[in-house]
Amino acid sequence: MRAAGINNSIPFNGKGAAGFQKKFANTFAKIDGIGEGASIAFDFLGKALVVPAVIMISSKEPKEKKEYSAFKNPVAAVLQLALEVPILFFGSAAIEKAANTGKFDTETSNRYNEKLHKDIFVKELQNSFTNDENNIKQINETLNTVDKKGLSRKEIETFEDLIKTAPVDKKDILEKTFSEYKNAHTNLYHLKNRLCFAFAIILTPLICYLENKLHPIIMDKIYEEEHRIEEKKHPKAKIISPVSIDTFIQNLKNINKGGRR
Amino acid sequence: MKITNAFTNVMSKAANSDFMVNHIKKCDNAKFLARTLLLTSVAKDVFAYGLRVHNTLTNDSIPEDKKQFSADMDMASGITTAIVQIGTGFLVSSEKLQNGISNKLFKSLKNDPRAFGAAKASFSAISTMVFATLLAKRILTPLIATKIVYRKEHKNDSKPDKTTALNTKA
Repeated sequence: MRAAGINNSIPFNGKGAAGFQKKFANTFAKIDGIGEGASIAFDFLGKALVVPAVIMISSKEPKEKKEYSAFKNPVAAVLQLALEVPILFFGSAAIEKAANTGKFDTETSNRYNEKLHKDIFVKELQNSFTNDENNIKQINETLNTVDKKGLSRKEIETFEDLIKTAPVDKKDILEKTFSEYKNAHTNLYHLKNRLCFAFAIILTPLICYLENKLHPIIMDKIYEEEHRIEEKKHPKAKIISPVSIDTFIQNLKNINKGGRR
Repeated sequence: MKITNAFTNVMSKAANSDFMVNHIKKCDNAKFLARTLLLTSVAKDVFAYGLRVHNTLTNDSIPEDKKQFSADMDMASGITTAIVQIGTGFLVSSEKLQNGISNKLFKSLKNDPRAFGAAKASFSAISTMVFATLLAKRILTPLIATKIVYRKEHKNDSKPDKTTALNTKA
């Protein structure tokens, strides 16, 4: 946003502004998607820190009252991170494994079997560049990255560039098998997202139940601690306990006798 | 083992159902995909806030003076998050808006369609995360919800008491 403003509103120093704009554009072009980790971290920090801060700053209710509601969010964020994130992570890995071992294949379709389509494409690719050492090296490096991180935009571009340099008689089959590989990759990605959403909906009552149990306990501890600190700062004056008139008279008698209570 | 197989069979049936296959085909459209992700996120939030309201009101370990306020905050947050997220998400995922911003921000990449497409996709993902996830969900929602709850809790404060009004008239 800022870059757009600079570029459009400052006509002078064109070289500097244009240079900045170019740098900014290239940075975005190099970003290879937002990772799941970044997304989870962003969500966690928002829920655990930003929401309570906004409630505490914006609400005009008494401190204890708004504190009680605001602190529910960090509890929910921690539970989400401790329960939902690992379950969805392992659930997603299990779906991927099932799909890649053909568990979701039917007689007519293997649309989610990414591994099968990848193997077919890789075989065709290796057959197409048997004599070209540079290309073989690049293919192996890209395949290693795919094995570690999965198929991302950068690798797709590398494969597309390789297909362009393939022998003419191999181009069609390479394009077809690569397209099927990409489709299987995308299908599996969307399937994982939808099934994980279903898992998340099923998990929500459990997380809310735990939150409902833990939140009052945590708040009680916080208040206990706050009162303890407050008492330490401002110790209360000792209140003389009220006595009955009989005790008072008895005490007076004791004093007259020379005794002390 | 039997449970795992039964679970895999259910998953396989769900994955190959006409609904799922058609839905995944539609996800090729970036606008449809962005809006699906947004609506699933909103649906999950609204469901969670609904449960929170019910749980808070039926939880005896929450002090009475804080129970209603806490439940009201959850209800107001649930309604606000749905409206604000849908509004912001639809605005951010609008193709017209994204194209307009991308054309201005990334005009130096216009000659390289691949780099331009990559920059546009990254910008779309990041702006959706910042505006829909952080700004709308985590800042605007509690900000509006606290105002709604404050109004609800103090709606009778400014109204003159009936007896006072009568006395003044007299």
